Amino acid sequence: MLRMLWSRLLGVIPLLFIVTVIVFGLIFLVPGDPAVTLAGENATEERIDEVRSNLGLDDPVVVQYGRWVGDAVQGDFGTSLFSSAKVTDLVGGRFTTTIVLTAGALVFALAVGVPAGVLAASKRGSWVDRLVTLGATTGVALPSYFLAMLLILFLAIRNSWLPATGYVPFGDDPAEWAKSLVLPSIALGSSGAAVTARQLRSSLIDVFAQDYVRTARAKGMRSHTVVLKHALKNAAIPVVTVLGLQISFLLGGTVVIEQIFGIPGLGQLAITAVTEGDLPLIQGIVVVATLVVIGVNLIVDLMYGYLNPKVRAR
Amino acid sequence: MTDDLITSEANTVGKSGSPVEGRTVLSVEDLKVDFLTEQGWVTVVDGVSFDVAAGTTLGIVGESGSGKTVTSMATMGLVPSPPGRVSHGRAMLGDVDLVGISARSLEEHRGADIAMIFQEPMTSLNPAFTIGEQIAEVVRRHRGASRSEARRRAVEVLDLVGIPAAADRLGAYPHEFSGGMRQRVMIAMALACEPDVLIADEPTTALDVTVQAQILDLFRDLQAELGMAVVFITHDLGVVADICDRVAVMYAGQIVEEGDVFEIFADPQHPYTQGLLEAMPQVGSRGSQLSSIPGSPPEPWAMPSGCRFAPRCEHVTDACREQAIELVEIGLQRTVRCIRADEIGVAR
Amino acid sequence: MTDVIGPETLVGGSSAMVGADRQLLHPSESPSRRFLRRFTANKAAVIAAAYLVVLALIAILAPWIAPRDPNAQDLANVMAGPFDGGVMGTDQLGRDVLSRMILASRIAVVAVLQAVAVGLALGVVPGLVAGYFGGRVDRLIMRVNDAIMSFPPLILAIAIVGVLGASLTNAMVAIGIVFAPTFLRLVRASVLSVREETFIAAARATGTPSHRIVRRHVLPNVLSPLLVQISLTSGFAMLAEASLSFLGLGVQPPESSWGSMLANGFRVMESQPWLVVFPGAAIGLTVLAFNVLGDGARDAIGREVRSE
Repeated sequence: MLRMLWSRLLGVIPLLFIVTVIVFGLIFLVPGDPAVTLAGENATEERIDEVRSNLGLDDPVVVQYGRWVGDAVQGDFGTSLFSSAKVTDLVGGRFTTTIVLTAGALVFALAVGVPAGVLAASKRGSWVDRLVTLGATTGVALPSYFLAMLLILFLAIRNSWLPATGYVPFGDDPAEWAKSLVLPSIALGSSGAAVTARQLRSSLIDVFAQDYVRTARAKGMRSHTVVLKHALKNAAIPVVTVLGLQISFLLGGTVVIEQIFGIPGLGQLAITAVTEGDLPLIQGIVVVATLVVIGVNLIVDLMYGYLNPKVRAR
Repeated sequence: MTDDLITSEANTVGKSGSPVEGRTVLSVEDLKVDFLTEQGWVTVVDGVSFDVAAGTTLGIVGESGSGKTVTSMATMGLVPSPPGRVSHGRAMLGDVDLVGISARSLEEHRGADIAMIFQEPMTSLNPAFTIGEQIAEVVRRHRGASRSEARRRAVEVLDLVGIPAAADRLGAYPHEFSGGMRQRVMIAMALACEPDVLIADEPTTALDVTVQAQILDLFRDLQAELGMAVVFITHDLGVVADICDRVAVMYAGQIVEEGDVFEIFADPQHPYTQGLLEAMPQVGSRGSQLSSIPGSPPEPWAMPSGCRFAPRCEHVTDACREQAIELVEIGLQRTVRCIRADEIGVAR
Repeated sequence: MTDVIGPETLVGGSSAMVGADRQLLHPSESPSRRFLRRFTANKAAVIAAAYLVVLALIAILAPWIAPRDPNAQDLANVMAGPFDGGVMGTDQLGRDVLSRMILASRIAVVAVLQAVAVGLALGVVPGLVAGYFGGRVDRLIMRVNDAIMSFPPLILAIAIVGVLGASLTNAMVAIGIVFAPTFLRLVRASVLSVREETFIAAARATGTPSHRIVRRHVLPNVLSPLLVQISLTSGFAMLAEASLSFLGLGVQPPESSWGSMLANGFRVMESQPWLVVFPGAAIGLTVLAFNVLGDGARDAIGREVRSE
């Protein structure tokens, strides 16, 4: 297991290299002279020079990249072009909120998707199955922000059961903090729930046809043990894959969800950075978000090891 | 009476005592199993009956598609539904009808009183759990044993089936074992609660020939030691000769001949049984032309109205095609489904 | 007795397990007829296809069928409900919602086409190359591909729009880049699966140039899974376009897409919920139609397509 972790970690290094090259390369997409464009309209000569030196644009490209990566490895993504704050500090202040929101969405996705998938597969062809399939198809198609609006409309405005918008920091009031995260988590996690239910249903149906499930029945295991122990652990493998991919979409989705619910997370910061053309900040956010995805993929790999002992041996 | 002949023909080694010993523990009566296909409901097992006594082995022989596996699945209550259903009959395990009882009560008996092992040792064990866990959970389930008791029992049965260093292998996963070893694990799992009946569905078919022989030896030894009744499903008459006391030959969903294994090998009455025996290579005549039965079995939705074997039978007459043929008793615990049995039995 | 040959091998009977798909009903029909028969048997997929055709027609004819000028303001008649002023009511500036929805459908269709075109342009050729040639080229391409796939799609798209500048075309280029790896993987996998087939080996042995083998033999085999993926990706592209426009990074005023109309309606949702319901439902239905169409096509092809 430990050896597997090591080999995966080593595999991440070339991946990170390419990722950083791409993120660094974003500057070449800036139309015209980056310094002029990024300084904004009606910028003074001094301002343009300031931007140029901030980004080190006068140096050769390789030197620029080397300096950028060298700093990034030490957790320094430079200085914001606009607020003169450290990118790392800006990102760090927002990071936890976004991760908590993403985790909340994931919890919702699993809490709804797993039982729904198990029920649908166990009662294949029944009305429960059809309901789950319909719900899952709709859930994948419904934009999270549209669902967010409907939730706000019905659960926060028409009935004030939950706060509509506004985020209460954990330190201020843990109970309100939790409440303020309920609707965003549901809105963000619904498509994950749909994907989980769909994938789990189909992989459980495959697993039910396996010889070892017949063995488990033949030895008199109760039907719920057969489903929840023998079948589920095997059926979980493709679900974990799908959830791993889902993390990417969840992180992207936080941008919109944070905007709607007024949650001060990475997503909101990203919008600010993009509207202001704050390149170092954009780069910092992309790298951090990508690191989260890569980290999740590592966890997914380790979960394969747990779920499928054959992988562990390799 | 015909002992010598059989021993030389099939190169049999010792087997358990007399053909019928002990009480009947499993009695299957007039079992019918249907499957829903594009052609509608078709009957794939049609009125199968047999008894198995403690300490004896009944072989059920037939080609694939003859209904032998479905018979065993129906006895275990494992016919997948949909598309299958057991439409008629009983499977009496002692005084419990396995076909009639609720799914929940059936679970109590499966693995405890009647156990089954399957053809595919490579896929029949759950890849995600250790073999120790897979054996121990049966013991916990049926005997209410604690985790440590169940582990102890798992070591015992693994030892019994000849897994070396059993205690050290509890934490191993199925993929770390060879096919033969996995089949031993399956057997250990089936025997963990000392069932009265063990159903073995082609347990050696997927294995190498040398491993096959080892597993068959194991079966014999275990039966001698534990005295359970065994239903051994196979397409291989050599295996039947080797370890069975009685044999039921199945063709197109029906038993066509049943009786003591010596008698059937010495004096087969049904043309199909005769064909099967002729297709078996004889020791000492290796390389000579093997005879086989021309044609193929009928599809279950297109059964001949008379004798189901009639289209392939060399002894067929018009009378054979007129109506369904009954299974008739022609001796002590000896039945055959052929109206010309007395004429052609001699002809052979 | 160990190597006794059982009757199974000798008797020569082949009675397969009952209940298996025997293809008895339609033994000899061409693949395209089979596809059509299976596809049309799936009612949901047919409805989805019909919906998308109608949507495309509306998009093409938008300027002529919109009942009013979508940008004409009528400040005396703002935020009217459906049927009060216009079929779908009016927005905060008194603009006719139905006309705006119709014009926005054109934006949606164009946006999806752009994103899919960019995705295909960036995905198909490298996928063919990686799958067909394998080896070091394959490894390099897949490394880069894996790296792109590890970016959260929407965040990468936002970043690209951020540096290129906010416009619908930039947004769709960004989304196309984000989805290219999916096409690349699919094409590569399909090529790998046909590469070892005998007809390809034969073509190679007779010295047919690579590009012709790819065009004649490989590409047709890749086509049907690719079509399925295009449909599914269109759904994602639709969602992504709406997201970016919702955030103000896609379509720019005075033009509007369903996503920007949603953002616009969100501000007054409390007093006029219809302003979010119509565009939201339009996005949801269109994405649903693409997904159902893709699933239906996949089932009709009868081959599992790995969509990741």
